[in-house]
Amino acid sequence: MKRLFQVLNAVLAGFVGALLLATASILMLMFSTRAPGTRAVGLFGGVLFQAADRSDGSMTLELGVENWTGFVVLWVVLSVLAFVSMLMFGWLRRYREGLAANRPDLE
Amino acid sequence: MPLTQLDVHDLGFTYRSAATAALSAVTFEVGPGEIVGLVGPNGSGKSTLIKLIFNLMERQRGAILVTGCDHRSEKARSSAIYLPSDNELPEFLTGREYLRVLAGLYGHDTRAAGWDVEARFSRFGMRGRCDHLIEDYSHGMQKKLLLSGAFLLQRQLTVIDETLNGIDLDAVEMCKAEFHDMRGRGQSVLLCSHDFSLLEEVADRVLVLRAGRLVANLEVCTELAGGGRLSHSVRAALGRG
Amino acid sequence: MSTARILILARLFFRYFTRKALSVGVLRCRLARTLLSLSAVAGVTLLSAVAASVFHDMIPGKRELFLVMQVSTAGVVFWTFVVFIFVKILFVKSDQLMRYTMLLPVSHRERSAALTLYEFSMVALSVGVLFLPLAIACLTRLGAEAIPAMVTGIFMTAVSAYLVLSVLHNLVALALEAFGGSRLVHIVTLSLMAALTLWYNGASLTLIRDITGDYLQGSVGFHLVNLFPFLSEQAGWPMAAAAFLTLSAVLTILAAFTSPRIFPLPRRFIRVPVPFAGRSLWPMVAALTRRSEWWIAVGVAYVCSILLWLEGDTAFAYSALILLSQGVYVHSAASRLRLMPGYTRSAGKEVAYMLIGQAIVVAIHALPISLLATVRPDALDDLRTVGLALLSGVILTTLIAIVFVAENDSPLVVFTGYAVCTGTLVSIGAMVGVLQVPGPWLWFAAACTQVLAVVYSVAGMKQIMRWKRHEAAVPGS
Ligand SMILES: Nc1ncnc2c1ncn2[C@@H]1O[C@H](COP(=O)(O)OP(=O)(O)O)[C@@H](O)[C@H]1O
Ligand SMILES: [Mg+2]
Repeated sequence: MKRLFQVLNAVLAGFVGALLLATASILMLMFSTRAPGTRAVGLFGGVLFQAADRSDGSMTLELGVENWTGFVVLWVVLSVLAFVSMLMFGWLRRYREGLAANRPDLE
Repeated sequence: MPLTQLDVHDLGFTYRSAATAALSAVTFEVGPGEIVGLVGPNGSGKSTLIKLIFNLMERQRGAILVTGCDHRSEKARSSAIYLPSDNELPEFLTGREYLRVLAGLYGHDTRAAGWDVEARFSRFGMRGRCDHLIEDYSHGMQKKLLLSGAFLLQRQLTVIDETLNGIDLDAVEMCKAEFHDMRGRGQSVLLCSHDFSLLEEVADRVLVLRAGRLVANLEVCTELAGGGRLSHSVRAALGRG
Repeated sequence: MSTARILILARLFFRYFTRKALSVGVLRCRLARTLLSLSAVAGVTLLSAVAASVFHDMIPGKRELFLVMQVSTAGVVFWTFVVFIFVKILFVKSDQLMRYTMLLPVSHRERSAALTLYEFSMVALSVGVLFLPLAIACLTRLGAEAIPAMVTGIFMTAVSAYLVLSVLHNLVALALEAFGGSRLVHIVTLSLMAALTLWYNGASLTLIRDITGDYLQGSVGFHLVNLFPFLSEQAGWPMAAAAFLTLSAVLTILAAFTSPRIFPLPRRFIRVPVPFAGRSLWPMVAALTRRSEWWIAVGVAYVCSILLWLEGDTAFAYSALILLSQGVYVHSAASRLRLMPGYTRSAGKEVAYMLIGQAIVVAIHALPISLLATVRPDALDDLRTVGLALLSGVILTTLIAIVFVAENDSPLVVFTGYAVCTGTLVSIGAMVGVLQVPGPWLWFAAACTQVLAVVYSVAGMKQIMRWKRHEAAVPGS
């Protein structure tokens, strides 16, 4: 049960992390200077941003996630990272407790 | 009927922030129809003992049986009632509603004979107050409400943690009569109190706690025989004679 | 009346605020406190930087600064309202402290003076912090020249708004006392103040438009909230300062005279009849509906919806969402029930009771608002959205109530809880907007969020119960 919750927490953390990264990369594309009208992709081709001037003087914006597989891969990678770091953290804490139990003066 | 209503065996407990144990190796029994006093200086572990009996904190050592069952079991829970020393009552209920919710928690039928909140309140000198919010009750009235709950529900084991402090004389007299009736029905009471004259009158035995250890288990009639006073015996047991 | 005693009392109130309101729940954790204060400093710095860069393009000179100050008076008055209510709620919730001060050898006048001093410093501090970015930006842009405009626009406006509010509050309290309703003083005054704040919030848009319009025409109109900037424009700022001093002296005297003779101890619960006594959900429903604050929320929601309805706005249905503001108390409202003898309930069941109880209470009280829609069928679409929002709100506020347990009903914890939740939702919403997530997936994600919220609520409740049983005990001994 506890493991299950750790997995759930890791998956959620990975999802939020992936969202954050994707948004940040789009924002970066938005503010980087390019020739007008060029398509810019970021995050290994996962996100896209394109601004083009139309003939009537208005502007069209095209932005968003271009291929969701990239996003999902990112999500999975981040989740695994989060899960591994949680495991490491728990292991370190138990290790410290073990040390403290052997040497009461450490506490 | 089980041989004991409450059986505490080798109970030990240490609070996280404390250096010494709050309770150690406490062993005693309360038989059916017995009224047992629990005395000891402040901080001697009386409330801790009572909370452990009612499974409000995780037991660390020893065993507790209530009416012959483990104290965590459903049967143990429904056959014992606990009156805490602090009045932390749901103040958004009226007295009548509180008693009704309590009855629901214990699965007690409020339509059964003997469930007369009105009469109970007027015997406690609170006529016409049962439909007022508990928020408006005085300190003593809240204690009387707690006691009414215990007397209406008539459980096999009733544990009272200093609830009798601060209620008026008439109410104390009524409680004595109630205890007498309970003894007649084979129900037991564990009564934590600092009022020795009350204990002399109602208790069969008195347990003395000091610094988490049970230092004496006094039979009240033996102590009183020959004109002795209970308070003297307790002081002697605490080593202050 | 002794100044020393007043100061001692005021210090006591401050200590109470820091010890009680600032050190409950999550705020007790040093890491959380550090993170919060760091993010506050970062926020102020960021906002100052943004404001400075915007002003750099927008404020070429004094004239434009003057407009900014005039427009900000509307905001200053609004925030004064909010902080005033917040401080009042804090004191309504601290009746223990009030009872204690009644035992101290101080006169009622001294207690009132100390309370006023305390309240006033809280208001000044909060408004000061809120408008710090604006002030910093103005100062960096214009230097010392900006000071008179800032003093008239922010300081004088906030102080006199506070005094006017105090006098109003005292007058209402006095009237209630005269008609024998002194225990209802807090409920009535707080609901009036809350309604007033909401109304003002609506009116301030018009105010800002008018002030801007005046400015564009090159004139300075008088709009009450901009009294001091107006005066300093018309008659120079020494004149404005003189007017400010007289006004605040008069208002202070008025406030002192109208201060109620006794501090009314608040009524925390109202005995409303709740049907179906004896059902297992009944205690939970009673716990929620008998809180007096619940009725403040209901009153404010109804007043808002009726006002919007009369204006012909279909958005009136959204005022039902005000009822959700009480959802964060769902855990602490029933905490006394959990202390009753014989009370055992698993975490899952406890969460289910909280969810269903709150849903029932909210649904019943939202019913009159939805009835308004029968007269105006074009609002039915909004009504459906509101229904979904209420459902999801019930789930999310229960989660907040469990994660940020409002010990002692601390309004600060509640504030933090709402702020964190709103912040998270808004930023996730923004991210989803930027990423252009397709519609069906959005619905799916929203549904998942609700399920996850329930799952985490149960887990949190389990944790709370475990802490209760183990917090005092040595682990593993
Ligand atoms: N929550 C707690 N955490 C740490 N120590 C506690 C706690 N509650 C009680 N104690 C300590 O345990 C001892 C026994 O307390 P208690 O059982 O309340 O005493 P009594 O009810 O006999 O007055 C005291 O020394 C008290 O300080
Ligand atoms: Mg005690």
